[in-house]
Amino acid sequence: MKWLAALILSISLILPAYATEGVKEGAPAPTFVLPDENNRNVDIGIFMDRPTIIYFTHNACFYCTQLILYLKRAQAKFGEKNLRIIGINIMAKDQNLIKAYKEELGFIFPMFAGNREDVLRAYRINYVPVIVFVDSKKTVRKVVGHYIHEDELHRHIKNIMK
Amino acid sequence: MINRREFVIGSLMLTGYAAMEGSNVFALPVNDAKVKAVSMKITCTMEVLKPPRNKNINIWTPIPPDNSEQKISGLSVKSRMQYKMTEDISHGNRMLFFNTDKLTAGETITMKYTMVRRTADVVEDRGERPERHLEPSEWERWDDNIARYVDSLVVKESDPVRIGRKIYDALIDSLNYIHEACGRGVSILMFEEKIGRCDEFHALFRSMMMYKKIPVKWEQGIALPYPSVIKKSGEVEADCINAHSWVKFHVGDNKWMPVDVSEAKRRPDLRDFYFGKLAANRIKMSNGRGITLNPPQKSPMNTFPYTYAEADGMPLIYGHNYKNRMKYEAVKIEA
Repeated sequence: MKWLAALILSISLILPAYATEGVKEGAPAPTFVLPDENNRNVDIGIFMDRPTIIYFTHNACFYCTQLILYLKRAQAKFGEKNLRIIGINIMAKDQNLIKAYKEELGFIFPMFAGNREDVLRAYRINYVPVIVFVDSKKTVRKVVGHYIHEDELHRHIKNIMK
Repeated sequence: MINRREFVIGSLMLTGYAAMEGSNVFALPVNDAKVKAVSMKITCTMEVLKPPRNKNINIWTPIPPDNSEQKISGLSVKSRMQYKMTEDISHGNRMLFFNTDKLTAGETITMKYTMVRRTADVVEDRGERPERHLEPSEWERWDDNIARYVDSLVVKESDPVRIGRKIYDALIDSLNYIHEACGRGVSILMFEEKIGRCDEFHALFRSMMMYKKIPVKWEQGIALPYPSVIKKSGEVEADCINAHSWVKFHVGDNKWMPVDVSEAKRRPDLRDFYFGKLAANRIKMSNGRGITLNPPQKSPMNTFPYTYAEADGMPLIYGHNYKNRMKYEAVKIEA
């Protein structure tokens, strides 16, 4: 019976899964009022009136900046009327960093300052890049927490456009 | 009778064998757990890619500490800019500080040195006050779920080494590793999501140990190839992907035991090794989290493993405005 006791003990010590309030595939996309580059406080929910990509990034992530080209090409391919793209900079607390980031990288999409505990917890952002795919009903369909190739990006976009 | 192709292959093999015999340990199998030290020449270069215009630019470059685990010698700096050597007050990290209002594309800051990196073991540090390493950074707070979990794991154990091993094993068994991402190292999120890289693994280890009143130091650096696979020369990018962290916890009598939980996850063959030792595949750059540089930067700094820069107080964008490259030349491996 020793092996059984050992098995029960080892199972009991595995980190338990907690029901968290964070974003889950199939759940409504959390919305927040966040500052943009002009320091206007904007409800990001109003941007989710069509299939939307929420792109979480920060200034030290080279992999993230490489994705910007893919995002631009995706919007050109699928059309602005069919696909919304917004960025959330998790390093930014106010307009200044957003403004500098957009200017430097030619980030043409709306971007918001997301260095806020409630935002980071709601979207479970412990690293970047994170790309959240939201359908037109504001439901999270896919969360990708790593660098993404263009064909995978397009596949997820097509899914939220269905 | 051998044909021409077999003759050529045979000749190449003989040449290769002769080279192995005549050279050093590099061509022989190396056990990463048995290596005592790796000596290498390091050239660390920050290159300006797209400079911000008409802005006041501050640049901070970490100077690797010289200690019993890594011997740094012959340090030299090459830059057109003047610089000063400074030290941050809270963690004692040394750095080069540059200030300029004009950067040009292609210009560089180069730091060269020779490093003998030893396999790290339990180390004594009489100059350290352990209690100061019971203070969590803003990313390492713990909640009731973490506290309850640690209590159920540790039960009545009071020996710091045995507590450390229980937490170490539990994290390796329960967490998943991801490499191609830039981590924030938030303990609560790691506990709930169970996926991250070195910063997430070590933030959670640190939180759990601190909850049990065991002081834990945070160390930060750049990962290099393991001695078993290192080439005679190579290059890594000193960025958030190659940045690496590990920790040391207090075992009593001013002694600190090193632990690398995420590398133990990635290298199951080194699981026992990494509880108490660190392979010589790294350069330590700094201590601590939530660092205030000297002079102070404007934006919050999580860790300080590589060159950081700001223009008018805004962090420059890594990979766009600048890039850090670290070239190494392996000189000797002591097994």
